[in-house]
Amino acid sequence: MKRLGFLLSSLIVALPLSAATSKEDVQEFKLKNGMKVLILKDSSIPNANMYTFWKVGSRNELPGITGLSHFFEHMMFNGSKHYPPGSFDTTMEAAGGSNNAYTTNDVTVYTNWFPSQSFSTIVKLEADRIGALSFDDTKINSERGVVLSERSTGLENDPWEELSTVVRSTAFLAHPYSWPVIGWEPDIKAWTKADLQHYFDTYYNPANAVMVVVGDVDPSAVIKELQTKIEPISRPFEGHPLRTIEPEQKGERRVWVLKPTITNPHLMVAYHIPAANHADHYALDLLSVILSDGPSSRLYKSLVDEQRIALEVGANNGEGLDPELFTFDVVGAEGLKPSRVEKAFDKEIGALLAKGVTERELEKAKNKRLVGLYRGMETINGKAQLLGNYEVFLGGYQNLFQAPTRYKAVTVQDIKRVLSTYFNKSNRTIGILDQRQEN
Amino acid sequence: MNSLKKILALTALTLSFGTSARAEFKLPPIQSLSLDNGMKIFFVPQNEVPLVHITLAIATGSASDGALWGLTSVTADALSLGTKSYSKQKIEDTFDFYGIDYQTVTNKDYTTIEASVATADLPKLLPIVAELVIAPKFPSAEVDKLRNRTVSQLKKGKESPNRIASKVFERLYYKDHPYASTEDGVAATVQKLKAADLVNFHAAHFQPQIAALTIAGDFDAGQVKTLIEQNFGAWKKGAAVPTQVTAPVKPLAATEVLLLDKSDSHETTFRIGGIGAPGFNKDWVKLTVINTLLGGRFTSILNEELRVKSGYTYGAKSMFNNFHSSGTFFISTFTATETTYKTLDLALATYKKFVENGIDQKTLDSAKAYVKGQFPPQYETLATLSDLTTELWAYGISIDQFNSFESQVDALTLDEANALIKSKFPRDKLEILMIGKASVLGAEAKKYGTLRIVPIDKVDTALPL
Repeated sequence: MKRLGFLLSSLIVALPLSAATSKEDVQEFKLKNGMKVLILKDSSIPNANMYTFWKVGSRNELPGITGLSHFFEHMMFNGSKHYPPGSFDTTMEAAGGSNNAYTTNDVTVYTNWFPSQSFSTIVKLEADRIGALSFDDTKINSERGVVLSERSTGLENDPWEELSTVVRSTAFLAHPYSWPVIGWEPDIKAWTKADLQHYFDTYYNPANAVMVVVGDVDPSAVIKELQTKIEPISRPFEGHPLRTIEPEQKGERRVWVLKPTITNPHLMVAYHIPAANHADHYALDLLSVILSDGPSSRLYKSLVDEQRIALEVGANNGEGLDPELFTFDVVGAEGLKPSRVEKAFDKEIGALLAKGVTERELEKAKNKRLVGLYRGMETINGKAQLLGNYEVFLGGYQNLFQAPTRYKAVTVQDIKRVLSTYFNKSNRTIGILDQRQEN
Repeated sequence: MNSLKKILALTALTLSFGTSARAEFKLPPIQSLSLDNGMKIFFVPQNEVPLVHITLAIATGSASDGALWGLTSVTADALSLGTKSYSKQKIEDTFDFYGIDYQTVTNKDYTTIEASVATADLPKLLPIVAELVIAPKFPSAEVDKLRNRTVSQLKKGKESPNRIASKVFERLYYKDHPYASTEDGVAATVQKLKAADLVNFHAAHFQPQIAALTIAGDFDAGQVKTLIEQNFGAWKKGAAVPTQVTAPVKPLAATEVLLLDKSDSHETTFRIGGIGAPGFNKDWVKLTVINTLLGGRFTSILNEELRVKSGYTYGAKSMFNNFHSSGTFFISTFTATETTYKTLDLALATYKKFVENGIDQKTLDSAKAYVKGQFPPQYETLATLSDLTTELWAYGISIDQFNSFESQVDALTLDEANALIKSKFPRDKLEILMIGKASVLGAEAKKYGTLRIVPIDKVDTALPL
C-alpha cells in the first residue's frame, strides 16, 4: 500500500447491493487497447473516483523477485514521461484529488478520489504513467527504504503478520501464494531497474486492466476522455497464465513461531479452499459469518464468552483468483497453553462437522450479508470497490447484483457439504505463535 | 430523494469537467426536537440506502473517570450485558440476527451508543437501545468477564506501539489534568472495577437532560418521533450536568523526552508535539488547511522530507487532536532502530523550518483545493453524518458554522496562514515520545531535553509517565 495502512493479503468484500442501484445503471465499455471500463453515475456528492484493477499481484512473481508487484505499485507514483518524480501527487492534490493503491496476492489496484471537475486532470496523470512510466535510480533506492519500513512496521505492530507469513508459506508448497505480498527482505534489497521494466512490459498492458469510475460524472464524457487519452496506449498482449497448481495436501502440517515477549498464545488454522469464482464461495462466506461475526456467532460465543479460552477469534474466507485458504485466527487467553486453545477449537469444528448449523444461524448470516451489502453501497468508493471485486474475482460485475439471490439459495445442507469437503485435518495447516514451544 | 440529493442533483446540471464553479457543499438540513425530560433529538434525513444510523450520546466522557480510568468506557460497554427485560443473550441474538452493527465509543468529553440497522428493523432496535441506556442491570458475573477481557486487551495493546503511541503522548502532555485519563482506561485501574462502580456511575450520569439521540438515514420522521416518545419518554430527569473540563493545562518548562523501552523493538515509534487547540475553535478550518500541508496529505512537508526524499519511513503525519476545552498537536512517524536519531533530527529540523519560515502561496493554494476536494466524501455515510451531528451538539457548535467550511477555506490568506503558524503551533518546549529498544538507543536523546527512560509496562498503570 502506498500510504499508511496495512497491506491486504486477501480481499475483504462487503456484500450485496443497493435498491437504488441496478445492473442497468452500470455502463460497460471496452477501449480498443483491450481495457475494460465500468462507469456508474452517482451524484450524491460532487465527487468521483477512478479504481484501476491490474491483474498482477504476488502470484505472478518468482523466487528472487518476491514483493516486486508491491514495489512496482510504489514506483507508479515516482515519475513518468511528462510528470517528473513527485509531480503525480503534487498535480493531483492541487486539483483537489487524493490517491492510494494496494497490492494483494492477485491484483494491484490504484485508487484516485477527486472533485468531479478534476476528472480530466486525473485521466491525464493516469494515462502518462500507464503509457510511459520512467524509473529513476535515486527514486528506486529511496523507495526501497520506504518499502523496508512498511515491511518492518507490519512486523513491529502486529503479531499476526509474522504468523500468517509462516502459515501461508507452509500451506502452499508450490503455488506463489506461498510468499508474502510485501516480499522477502533480501529480495526487496536486491531487485533492479531491469526487473521493474520487465514487469511493466509484461503486466502493465491496458488489456490486463479493468477501470471503474463511480461518481458525479457524465458517462459519455468519461468515455470520450478515456478514448482520447488512454485508448492510444496500445501494445500486443499475450496473457500470462500461471503454470503452477498447488498439489493436494495429504496430511496436517504444523509450524511454530517463538516470540518471548508475546502476552497471549496465537493460533492460526488454515484450510485449503477453491478459488473465489467457485460455486462454494457463497456457502463458505456465510460459514465465516456464522462462525465469528458478532457476539452470538459460534466461535465467539463458545470460546470467548462462555469458556473464556480465547480473547479474540476470527474466521476468514480467503478470496483468490486461484485456490486460497479459509483461515481461523484465535488469540488465546493469557497464560493458557496453545494445546488447550487448539483442543477447544477442534471441539467446535468437530461439533460442526457432526451436526452442521441451524436454519436460524444461516438466516442470521444471510441477513448480516444483506445489510452489509447496503453499507458497502453507501459510498461511491464502496460501489467502485465492489464492482471491481466482482468483475475480477467473482465472475463479472453483474454478479454483484445477483449476490442477494446467491446467498439466499444457500441451504444448511450446502453448509454441511462444504464443511465435510474442506474442513478436514489432512487439509489444514496449524500455526502457533507463543513465548515458547510446548513439548 | 432527500434534500441533500436534490440540492446536489440540481448542482450536477450545471457541472461539467473543469468548467463551472460548483456550489458550496453543505450537510442535509437537521431537524432538532426535544422531549419533556430534556433529551435532545436530531433527525438527519438521507435516503440513499434503506438504513438508519442512530447515535445516543451522553455528555460525559473519560475526563469524568477520576482515579478509576476506564470507568466510563467499561460502563458503556457493559450496558449490553442485560437489562430489566432483555437478557444478554437476547440482546446479542437480536442484534446479530437483524444484521445490526452495535458499538459504544467513549471520548474524553462524551460517550456514544451507536447502532446501524435496516430501516424496517428500527422498531425492533429502539426499545432495546432505550432499555440499555435507561435500565441496564450490570450483572456482576458478566461484568467480571468483560473487565477481565478488557484488561487482557489493554495489556496486549503494548504489542503494537503504533496503536498506543498517541494515547501515551496525551498522557505525557496532560500529566495530572483530567484529560490525561485515556478513553479506554489502563489495565491497573480497569482491574479494580466492580459492578457496583458501574451501577453508581450509570445512575449519576446516564440521564436524559444531558443526552442527545441522533437518527440519520432513510426513515419517516413522524413514525420515529412516536417510537422515541414511547421508548424514551419515561426516562426520568436527574441532576447530572454535562462534564465540563475547565482546569488549565500547565505549560511545559522545557522540552521533555520519554523513551518507553520495548526490548524486542526493531523500530522506533515517535510522537512529537505539544499544545493544540479546543475542538471547533474559531480557527479550526484554517488550522485544518495549514496542518494538511504540514502533515495531513501525501505531499505534506513532513512526508516529503521523511519518506519521499530520505526513505527513512513509510510515513510521517501531523494532527491536531481536539477536545472540548483544549487539545494537542503532534507529529507521528516511525523508523528502523538504526535510523532513529537521523529521523528525529530531520523531523525536528523540518518542523522548526515550518514554524520559523512559514509557507508560500503555491503550497497554500494547493492545500486549499485539496481540503475542499476531499471534504464531501467525509460526510457520505450515515455513520459519519450521525457522529458529526453528535459532535456539534457536544461542543455547542451550530450547523451553519460547519456549513461555511468551504468559504472559510477560501478566505484564508497567506499572511493569515503564516500568522497562525506562529501563534497556534507549539514552537519549542515540546513533548517527545519514543517507543523503542533502549539498550540500542542509549541516552543520545538527552540532546533534545530532559530524558527519562521507562519500561513500557508502566503504561498499564495510571501513574504519571
